[in-house]
Amino acid sequence: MKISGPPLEALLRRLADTPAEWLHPPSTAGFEGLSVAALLSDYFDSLGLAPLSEPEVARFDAAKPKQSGWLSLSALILWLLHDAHLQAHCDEKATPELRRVLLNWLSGPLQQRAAHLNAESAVRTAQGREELSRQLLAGLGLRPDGETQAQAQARLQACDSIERARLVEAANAANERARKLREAMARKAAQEAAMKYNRE
Amino acid sequence: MNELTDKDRHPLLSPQGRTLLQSMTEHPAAPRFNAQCGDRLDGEGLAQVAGFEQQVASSPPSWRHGAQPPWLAPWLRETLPRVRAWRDWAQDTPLARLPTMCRSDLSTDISAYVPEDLPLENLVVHNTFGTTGDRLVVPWTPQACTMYLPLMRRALALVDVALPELPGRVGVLMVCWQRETVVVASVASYLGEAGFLKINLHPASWRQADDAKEYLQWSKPYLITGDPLSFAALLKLAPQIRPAALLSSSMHLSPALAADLREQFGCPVLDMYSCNETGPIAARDASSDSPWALLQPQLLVEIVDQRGRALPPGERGEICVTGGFNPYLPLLRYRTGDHAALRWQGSTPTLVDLQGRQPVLFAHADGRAVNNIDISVALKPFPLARFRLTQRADKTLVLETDPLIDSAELRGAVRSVLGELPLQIAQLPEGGKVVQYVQEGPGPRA
Repeated sequence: MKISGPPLEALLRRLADTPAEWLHPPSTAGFEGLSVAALLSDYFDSLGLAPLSEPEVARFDAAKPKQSGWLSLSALILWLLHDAHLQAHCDEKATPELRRVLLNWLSGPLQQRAAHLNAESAVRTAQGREELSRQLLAGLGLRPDGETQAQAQARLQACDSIERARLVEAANAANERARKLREAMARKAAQEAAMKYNRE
Repeated sequence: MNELTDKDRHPLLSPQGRTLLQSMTEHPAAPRFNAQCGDRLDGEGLAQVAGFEQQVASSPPSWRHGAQPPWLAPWLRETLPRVRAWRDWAQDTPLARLPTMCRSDLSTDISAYVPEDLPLENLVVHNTFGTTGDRLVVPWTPQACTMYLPLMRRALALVDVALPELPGRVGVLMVCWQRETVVVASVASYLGEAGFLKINLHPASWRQADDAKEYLQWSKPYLITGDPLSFAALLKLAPQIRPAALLSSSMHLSPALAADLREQFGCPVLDMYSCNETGPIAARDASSDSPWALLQPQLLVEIVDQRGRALPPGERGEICVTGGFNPYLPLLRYRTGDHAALRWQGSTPTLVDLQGRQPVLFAHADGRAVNNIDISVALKPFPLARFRLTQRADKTLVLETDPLIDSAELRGAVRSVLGELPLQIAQLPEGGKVVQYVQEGPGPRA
């Protein structure tokens, strides 16, 4: 996040104004809908980069139906990438490396995020819009215009649904462990202890 | 209640050990035993204690002021991530920047301080009724309970007394003086199946008036442990015995009582500083003004001010410890509530000017003395996070509790120990640690 990117507000506004057709159900194996592969391939083409290969197309349009949440988020990312500021940035950086970074980010981190953030929330809720916008910027190595790296990092973490889920999971695990310890100590308190040899 | 079997209590009990156990429990003058207890050690457990003893012998406490003992950094790296309360601290955070903790932290949520990767089947629990602070239940392991013995050995070495294996005889006798407590006979496999007795000198614990004296004289204990109130009672009873040493802990031992004990029993008297949360910390010859020798190989002792800042050598403050040998309760800058100063002899730190917890005697309505521990036991059934019992000069009582519980049962519990004295019950003001027992009058004679 070393490079200052576009203002966050522009991306938030753009997400809130997402046209309905970008939220149509995506194509998956056995279902023909919004083709994320086509949108992505066209995007690369607009940057003068190689369009998707057949295996890359299959990765998106032949995905399993249970991956449709990820594909819908990918469609939203492509909608965001057409923001004028981001488009200008990517035009300038349009190299095979950018293509590789984007493909990897969509297939890896974004796919993991789809378990915690759905496209509906990423458009309809302020928290979801901020999370998706910030994650895209971070994926491209950018930070919102006007923010320091520390501020951007702190906000990125604060509105990270994966981190929230991890904290909830950790809290639940701690509560469960505390419950088991309390029960074990109550059980053992009813039993005799082992000997100690001096007064305390 | 889950009943233990004899095999659970004494996994290694031999026929000789069983014979000793029977002779202790079946003696005609034996007290009214009201419990059973063992060390629960198998061969593996004994080996762990032996390993600890080697560590005690080979790694006495040693660090220079301002420096840290070499075990501390690895200990912090290993321990901090395993304990919920400390997990967010970087493992290389300097000790001085880590927060202190105290007894009320443990009584509020002890699970935050118990490493989360330990199995829960092996733990045992020990209650503690300190004269200050909150009531506390501490998880231990049978192995760690027996690790008290190597630490007692180290303490006894200060007065040139050994603690050898003593098969066939009573090795350790713990005396109490309370209206009610656990009275038990057992054997200590780590001492070659020496006998262990915990007896109560209170008359209610014996069948005949002379039984206590007769039983003590029969048992000829090698070592007697207890607290000053119990030793004062032992002094009055005056059994004709010659133990190798007396070891007092739990409360402040006055030099006068130590001298009387030494004279009557003809043996050295040790004063040991030991808490349920920490185990034995330090000891000294009670008949000297010598500094207190630290006992544990991996227990860093700091002296801190109210804000948790370490104080320089010679300056008195609160004793604050890090480390320990109880795997279920590692301690990180744990404030014990007791006060002392540190003094170095080369790279050996010692404690000086230690002021332990003072025993507090209350006057019963009929004038006799009552040990504050009896009051703690009577109040045990009540869910009091904190309380303070004050006896005014006119013997009237004020019991402040948190939360406020003014019930007939609570009044009855106090009455059962202290008799028909006027009792006012009030809400304890908000705040942290309190002195639980306050005697505003001259108090009774013990």
